[in-house]
Amino acid sequence: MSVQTASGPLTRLHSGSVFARLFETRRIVFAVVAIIIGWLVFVPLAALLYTAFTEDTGFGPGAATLDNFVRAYNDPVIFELYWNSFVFGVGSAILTFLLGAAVAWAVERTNAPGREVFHALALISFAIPGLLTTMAWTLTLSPKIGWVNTLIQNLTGTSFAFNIYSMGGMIWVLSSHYFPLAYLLMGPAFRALDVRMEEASEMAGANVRQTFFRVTIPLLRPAILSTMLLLFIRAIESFEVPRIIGSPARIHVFTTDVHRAATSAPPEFGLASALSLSLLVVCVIAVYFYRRVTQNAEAFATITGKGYKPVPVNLGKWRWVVTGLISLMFFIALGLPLITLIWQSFYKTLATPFAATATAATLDNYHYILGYPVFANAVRTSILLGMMAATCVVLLTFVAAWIVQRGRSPWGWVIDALAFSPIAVPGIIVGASVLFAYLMIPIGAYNTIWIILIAYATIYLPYGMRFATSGITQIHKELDEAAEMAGAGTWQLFRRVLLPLIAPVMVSAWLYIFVLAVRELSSSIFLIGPGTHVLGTISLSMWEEGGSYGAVCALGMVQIIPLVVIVTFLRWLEKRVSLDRR
Amino acid sequence: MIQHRRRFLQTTGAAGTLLFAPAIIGRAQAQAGKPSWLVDDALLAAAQKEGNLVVYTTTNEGEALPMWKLFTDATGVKVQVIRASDSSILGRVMVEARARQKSWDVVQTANVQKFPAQFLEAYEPPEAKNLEAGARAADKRWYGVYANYNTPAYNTKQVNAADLPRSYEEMARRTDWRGKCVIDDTDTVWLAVMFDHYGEKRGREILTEMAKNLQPAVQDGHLALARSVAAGEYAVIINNYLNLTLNVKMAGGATDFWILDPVALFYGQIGIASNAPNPNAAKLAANFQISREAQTHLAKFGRLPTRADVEVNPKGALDGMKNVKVVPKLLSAEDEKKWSGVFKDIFRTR
Repeated sequence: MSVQTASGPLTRLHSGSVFARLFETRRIVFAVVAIIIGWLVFVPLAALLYTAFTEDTGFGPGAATLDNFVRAYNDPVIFELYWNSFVFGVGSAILTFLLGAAVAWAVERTNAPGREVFHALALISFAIPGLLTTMAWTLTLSPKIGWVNTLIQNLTGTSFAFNIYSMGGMIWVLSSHYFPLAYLLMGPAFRALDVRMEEASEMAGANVRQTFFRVTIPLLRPAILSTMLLLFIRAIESFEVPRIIGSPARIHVFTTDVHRAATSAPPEFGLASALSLSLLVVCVIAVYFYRRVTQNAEAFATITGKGYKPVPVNLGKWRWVVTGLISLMFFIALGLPLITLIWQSFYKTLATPFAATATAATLDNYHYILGYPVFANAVRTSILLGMMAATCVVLLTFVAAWIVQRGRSPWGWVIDALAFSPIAVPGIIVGASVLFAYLMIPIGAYNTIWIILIAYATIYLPYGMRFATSGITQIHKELDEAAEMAGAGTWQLFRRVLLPLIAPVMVSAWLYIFVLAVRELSSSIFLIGPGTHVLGTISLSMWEEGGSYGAVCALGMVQIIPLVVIVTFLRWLEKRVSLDRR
Repeated sequence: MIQHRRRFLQTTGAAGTLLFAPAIIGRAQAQAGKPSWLVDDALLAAAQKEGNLVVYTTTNEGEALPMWKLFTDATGVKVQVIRASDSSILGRVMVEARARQKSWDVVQTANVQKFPAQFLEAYEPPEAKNLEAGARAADKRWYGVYANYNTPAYNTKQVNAADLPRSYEEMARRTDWRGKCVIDDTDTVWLAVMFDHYGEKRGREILTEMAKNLQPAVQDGHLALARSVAAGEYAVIINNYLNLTLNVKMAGGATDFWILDPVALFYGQIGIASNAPNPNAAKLAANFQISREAQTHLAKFGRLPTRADVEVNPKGALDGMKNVKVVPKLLSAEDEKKWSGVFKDIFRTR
């Protein structure tokens, strides 16, 4: 006989023996997932702590020391770094969220024309490697050579120029690149919103504004907080934008120092780790508060046993205004840098879009890329790794999120924080720690695709966890309980109840992680071997060592095309498995 | 009898010539086609027996893979090339050393001199005698594969060649260049050479004045900065690698270099692992990498050779070096830290 407790299905009592209870399928699955996540997280965290507290001798084990912390934190400039990082993080999180949520709302909640195009465009935006996007913005909005500034000056006859080399410029560049993340997180949340709650509010006399702030926003709170948390952490641990745009303006952030320490010759892993511990503390605190705020998960569940009715909002004539505004946003955020990249990909030297140039357009850059010795191998490896990493991470984190959300243990936040913690570890340290661990463990992973997969799975766990948490919070546990009372086993519960409901979020998570993994760089540096080149390291090789601006841009263009194909296919698949068959 | 003997000799001689001509011609052809660096048949045989070679290199794949194909074609030894930056290769070697892993045979970066001596095999390849003076370690643990001359560069559309300063002292006084310059924050070798040349006091004075008057932007990435100067983002880069400026110039960029005394020089180097899994292939590879054939291949991409018998590309690029003081300088890991601190202090990189 099963007894339902207030704590949910995970603490259900059986009339069977302790032995039988211990070996329930569900517990075994949970234990396996917890062990895998624990191991994946343990390697980089252990490396981070070990290197932070030992001397940087380079080639042999160092003595225990606090010198790394003294070097990292005794310079008063550290406060300037913290402040700049905080401003950059908060500003980017807010702007990114607004941009992404606006697109998500238009696509998932309204009848604005062009929704499918907006979906595709949002994903194209982050298919372009961050390094390229940042470079494109310098060519677009640099006060000296930016073509948009030149155009404005020619049109207006003034010397007005946007200056990308500013904190505002940094925030804009990061936000315009990362808003698809906000879109992918908020999209499923908007889609699952039961419009009847809003109708009830309006029937009770609330106007649209009141309904939006007092009903809609609170219902979306877990998704909003998950999104903001991820965006904030992602912003403060970003280094491409601070490096290319912040450094010339002497705006230095936390990660500038971390990156400099990790990439000096010889690398100062101890110093980089000591600095990164600050980031880790921020992550743990953020996750703890997230859990406190969303602890009454039932209050935020929008998918319940009472029926589920996703219906688009009819905007009437305003739908064209919304489409126009979203289109303008895409043109500015995505179109301008894309025009720069596409145009530049046909020239070997700097070429201003739509202006005459000294050299003729050429396909030489594309010939160079397609003929690059390891390009084909890198494409194959990157796509394969992307698919494998996304699949592993989605499976692991959705099960883990289920444990965390349904288990009702007071320590659930520990699992959440653990799974989220790798985001605080610089990719280069993840790579180095994975390399070391699997050199010591003789399982033959070194110099194979498997060691890279392990690193990717570690790095992308936090993203999967945020997607999963956001998605599962929206599903009321009464649906689990109803299925179990009807006699469904674990597998049936998952396959016939949960999976259809969380499939849109899972597909979004898979897609996001896939795209990130295809262009992953920092952890791959230490792990690539003969035959396992990836697109990220090829890009870096061209950026650092050879190839013109044009060649680097051509590489970016070549990477986008297969990603667009895959994204389009996944959108079709997502609509097939979603309950909302619009 | 004598006639019979003469006819016999004539016939035998003709037959012998016909019989052995192909072998004789083939040997002559083989000797003509044999690479200059393949001089030790015993080493070649031992390397072929090993059959493999692992190379860690900073040279991009577009240059490195065709070059190592020459090696494979000549020897039959399969080469596995792993490309990364100087610091990444150093980091990787560090981690593998801690795990006591034998992973690589030869390393080719610009900081082989920072490896602990016990990590590198002391070996003198036969081709080392053809290298220019200074392009080798005294303890025989590394050899120069290409030369990195450090010179400033400018945008030819924004700066007139006639207006270029003739000395670093003059450059330091160019207040009209304020906000138009850039410097790479990893230029510690250049900095060390400036202090060596001018002395501690005068060197610091000049550089402090330069930082104050020019207020250069500070970034990293020499090739990216070379491109930025050519694009017009900056009018002048205070120091860059000559071959990179030439690389961008040859691609059509509006940039050129000029030479100021002193010129810092360091080398891209090759070293052999002391615990190489394929030690004979490694020795053969080291000899290959400093050979005329390998350096001629790299020169096609604008890399500057360390041998006098390899033509510089473009021709005449180094002619100006005859009138200045060229100072080879290689920093140890400890020196690197010291000069990074000095650089940060002078150019206020934060």
